[in-house]
Amino acid sequence: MDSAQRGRGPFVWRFLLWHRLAHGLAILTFYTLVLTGLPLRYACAPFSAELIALFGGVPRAGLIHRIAGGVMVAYTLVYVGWLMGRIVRDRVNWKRWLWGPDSLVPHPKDAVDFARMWRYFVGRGKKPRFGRYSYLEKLDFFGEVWGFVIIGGSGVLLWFPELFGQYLPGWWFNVATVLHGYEALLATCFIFIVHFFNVHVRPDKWPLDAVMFHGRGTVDYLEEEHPDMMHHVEENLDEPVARSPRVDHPAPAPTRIATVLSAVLGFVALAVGFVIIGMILWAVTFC
Amino acid sequence: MTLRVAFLAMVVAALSSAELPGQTSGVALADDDACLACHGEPELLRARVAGAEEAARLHVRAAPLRGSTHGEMRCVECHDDYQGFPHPDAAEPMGCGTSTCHDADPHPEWSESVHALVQDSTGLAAATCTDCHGLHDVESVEALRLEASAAMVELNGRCASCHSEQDHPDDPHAGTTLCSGCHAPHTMEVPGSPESAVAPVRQLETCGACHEEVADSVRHDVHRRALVDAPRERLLAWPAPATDSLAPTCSDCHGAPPMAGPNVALSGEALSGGPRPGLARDEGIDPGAAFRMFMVERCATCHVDDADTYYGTYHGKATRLASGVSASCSDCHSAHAVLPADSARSTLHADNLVGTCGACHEAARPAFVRYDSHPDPMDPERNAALYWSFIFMNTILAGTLLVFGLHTALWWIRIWLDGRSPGPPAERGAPSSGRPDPASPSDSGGAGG
Repeated sequence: MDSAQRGRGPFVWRFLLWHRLAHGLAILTFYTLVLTGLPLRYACAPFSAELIALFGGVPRAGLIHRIAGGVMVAYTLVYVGWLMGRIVRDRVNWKRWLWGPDSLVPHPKDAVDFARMWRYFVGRGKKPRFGRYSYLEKLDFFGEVWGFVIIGGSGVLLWFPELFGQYLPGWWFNVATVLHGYEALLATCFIFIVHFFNVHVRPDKWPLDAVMFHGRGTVDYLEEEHPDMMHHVEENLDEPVARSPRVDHPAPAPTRIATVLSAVLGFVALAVGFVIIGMILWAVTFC
Repeated sequence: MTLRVAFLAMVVAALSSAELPGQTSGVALADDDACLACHGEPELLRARVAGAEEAARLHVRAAPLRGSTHGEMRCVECHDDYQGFPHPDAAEPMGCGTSTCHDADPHPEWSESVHALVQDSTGLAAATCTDCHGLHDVESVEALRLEASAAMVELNGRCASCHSEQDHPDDPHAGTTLCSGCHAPHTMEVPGSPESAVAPVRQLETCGACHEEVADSVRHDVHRRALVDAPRERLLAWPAPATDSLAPTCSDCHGAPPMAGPNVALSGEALSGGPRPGLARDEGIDPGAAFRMFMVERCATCHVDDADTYYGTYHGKATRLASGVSASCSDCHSAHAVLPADSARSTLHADNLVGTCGACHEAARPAFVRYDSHPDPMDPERNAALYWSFIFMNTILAGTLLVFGLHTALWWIRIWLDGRSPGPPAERGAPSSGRPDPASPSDSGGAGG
């Protein structure tokens, strides 16, 4: 059921607690924002009045939306602060951090991989060998960065119209409304269609990849998804399972509770996501 | 009592069996006591006629009759075909107007009214004199005109006995206004007739008689001007033109009874012709907000494009979802003084806009009010920045979904094709692990062979 637990072990840590917490918070805030924002964007849709009533009416849904947005801004700022701290205080090798093979930053290889994927799709080449982060994961990450800037910026503008209206002409709010709504729609469709397919329901992985929930995957799984990082893993495979989790180091198999919780969280999130895509299609047809 | 009834029964029996030569019409009844000897006794009537209903119909109470404005009159002055006993089988119904009393009074007006028209053309029972004024408990005109009196409630109740849909306890006029206060008594023209007191052209006068402030402010309103300036033949056209071809008047927004207004909770249903899906739970919202919310739909019947652009804004979307605080048409355009923005009196005039927006957005400044409440992102002339933002956002939305939709679809097909192809799973070309490929489900994603 969980493709991260398929094949042969041993288990290896891929994501640490803070990765998983950040992703969990992202799920929580993103879903809240979508569910409270969607009925406003498609106010004309048949489900919108019911959905907004579920949140206790427009003013209450608006408050929940702003709280979720605030939490998203908060954890993003914490992340950026942590990043700055790493660069400035810990003096990480930022050249390697930017250009190393384990980087999350887009590289020329990603463009090559992207091109090779299309050749692979049409049967004219092998699937490219992805490193720690494939272009799909980088796209997920930087898509969120881009979305955060556009949606967050316009959202703050629309949150305090009277404050910003002291200096900015009012039509900025017209522009902000368009940016906010369309970028949110793009983010929703991208996550619930492209991300969900790439990560979870791809026929060779489906129905779920819970590596981001319990943090570890089998060697077979990592080899399949990220063959170009396996040398990091090979080096540590003979070490005993460490007490504190370290990336690329052997991990204990997820406990039954962790497996079940991951599956429940994953399937609920998947189901809600697909329902939301259905609602968008319904709204687009209806409005 | 029983003795008295028995006695009377004997009298009646004697009278009806009496065969007096030369008197075909039976016994002459001179005074009311003779009439009430029977018609004042319900038990006797029940014994004499078939059916309790018929007995009740024939029963006359003396006290209300004596207390009515006809208290001094004798029964036979109205019931002139019933002067003798036994009564004729089928007498003409008596008429108040055809009698000598109200000959020139209201009758000619009533015979032109919608009630007379309905009765004449369909044969259905429509309201005649007694339906409103009462049969035996006829009220004086003075009593009927007392506002908020028991007589008024009683009189409105008589209208409501037929017009039950118009009788709503939440109607703001309920208990305070006579039906005939707006619908002129007796004349009561056909709905839509330009001569009617509630005809579009005459509503300002009729409603304004009480709602003086509104009537005063509405005199400059574009809708009012359009109505006044409308060609007379259009206003007098019969049948009345569809409302959307004429500027709205009082009733176009506030409806016919039960009427709606900013203080009336029933506005939603009354104005939209029924509850709207999903709004059943919003009973908690302020009636004024509900009224304004449904008012958008009313304005939208004519101002189609303006409603469209409004619904594209936060104001419109939140209003559609029963926000209760979001601005709707009348918040910016005013309810009764709608004027073009170049008019100095308009709420939309450049000098007044900060105050208009400031009613909700307290810190509104001249920059703030450059917000476009009816934006058209497809129109580069109106706002180039909005237009290009719209184009840009649509391009990246469509572009991303197209590229990655295809990416997703093709990947899906590739994995499916590989899963079907015979032979061992494709080699990975990855020397790093050196492990043999374990036979596991995750292998099916390998490159096709």
